[in-house]
Amino acid sequence: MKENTTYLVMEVHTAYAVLLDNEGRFIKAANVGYQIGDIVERAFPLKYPEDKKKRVNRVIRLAASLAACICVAVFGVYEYQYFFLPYGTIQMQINPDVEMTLSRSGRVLDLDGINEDGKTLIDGYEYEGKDKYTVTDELTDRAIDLGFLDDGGQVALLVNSKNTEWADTLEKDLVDELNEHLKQYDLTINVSVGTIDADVLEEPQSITIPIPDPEPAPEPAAEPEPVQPAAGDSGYDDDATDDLYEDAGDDTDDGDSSYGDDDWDDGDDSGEDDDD
Amino acid sequence: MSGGHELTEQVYAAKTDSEAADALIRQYMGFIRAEAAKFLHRAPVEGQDEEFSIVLLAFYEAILGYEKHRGAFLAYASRGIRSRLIDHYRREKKHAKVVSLHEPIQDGEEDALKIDHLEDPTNEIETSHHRSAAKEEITEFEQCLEGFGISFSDVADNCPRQERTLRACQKVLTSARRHPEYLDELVQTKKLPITALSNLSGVDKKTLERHRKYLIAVLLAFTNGYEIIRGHLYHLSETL
Repeated sequence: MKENTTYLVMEVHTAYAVLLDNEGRFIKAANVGYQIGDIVERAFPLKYPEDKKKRVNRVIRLAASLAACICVAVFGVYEYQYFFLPYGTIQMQINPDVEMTLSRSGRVLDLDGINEDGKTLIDGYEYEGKDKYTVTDELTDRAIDLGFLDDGGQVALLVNSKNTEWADTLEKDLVDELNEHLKQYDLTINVSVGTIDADVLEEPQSITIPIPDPEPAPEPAAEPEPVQPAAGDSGYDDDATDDLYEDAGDDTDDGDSSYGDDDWDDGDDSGEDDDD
Repeated sequence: MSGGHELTEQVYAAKTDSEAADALIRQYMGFIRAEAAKFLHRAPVEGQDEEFSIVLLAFYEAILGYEKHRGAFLAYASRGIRSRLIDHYRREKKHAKVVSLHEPIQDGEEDALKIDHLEDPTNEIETSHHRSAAKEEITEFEQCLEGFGISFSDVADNCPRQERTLRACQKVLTSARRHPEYLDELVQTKKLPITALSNLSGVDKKTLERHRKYLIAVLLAFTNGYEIIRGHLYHLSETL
């Protein structure tokens, strides 16, 4: 409405008058004692009920749009965090040692080689957009192909996250998934949760069990005195064997067995205790 | 109960018929006066108390906005009147510093109002002449519109209330004035050449159809005659 607007009274009714403003608007307004042909400077326009409804609807629409925008923004931020922000890591040790950075959704965001073999393992490997299970399986496949992992080998998986519950669940799921995946190979590979000791990683992952001389042990002459081998003596080298034979009939723990159980074969195939 | 039902019927009839609305308002003038008196704390004076005119308008708004499910009409109208008067007083607060010309002068003179002591710069005779000439022209214009089956109330109800739509209608008027043959066609056929005007002005046909009555009235005002009305539309002429 422009300034200095005047209204020409066009029609008069008991409750209202029809006024014409200078811009060509015909309006219904309060009839403050008007007569047809009067020019007035002030008007109290009628409020149409449908305009009130439209205004209410507009406010509702605006509020709904605003609420939708807020929802989209909140959901968007949450989704961004869910898919794109680091939430935890998986340390995967074979001997190649690699670390995956994960989003909460389980998407692999980053992949690093912790040691030289780890760097060799992930060299040229595309992990972007892949799921944690896929990357774990594929890295295990690559480790087998590259000769890092063989029969009797070990894979250790350790998940770190602020959310320990999430980490524990994921560790369990990863082990299950990898065990399932490894069934396709005719290999015995131990998949475990945790880490492998550095010295174990450095040694080849095979164990040689020496078989003792098959000569039968002489009959024990008397109740032998327990002999404590020297510290660091495995009890299965030549000297130890000699001692064993000297202490004929002794099947007690020497306290220094690398196998932790001295109840194994002492050369007597009788299957009975030597004490007998 | 039947009285209430009858009133509801009267209200529904008054929604679309301005004569019925006038009759209903006259019938309930006592109620309207009582509602105005609640606020004024005295009997309202018709033609002098703005509040009374606002109450009348609010009653008419209540007629237009009433639905059966909203309860008894008079209670609904009373609520509408109350809120309309509150709105009015709030708006008037902005002009609180404006001194009323109807205030009495405090100089001991009895029944003297400020307005009585003001010199009226307008020539009353000239104003009266102008008013009667305008009235004559408006009556002629009204009769012309009746030929199209349109009243001023219809035009007011059909007038665009959004600025953008008003501008679109003004665009149509500009196009029509540049091609007077369409104005002639309107007068002769008593039909608005919607397609031709839409093509000329570039305004959507739906807009023209929706505001057909208003457009007829404005276009007619710019045919021959109606000098006073055209003269009044000087803001509109500026845009043409």
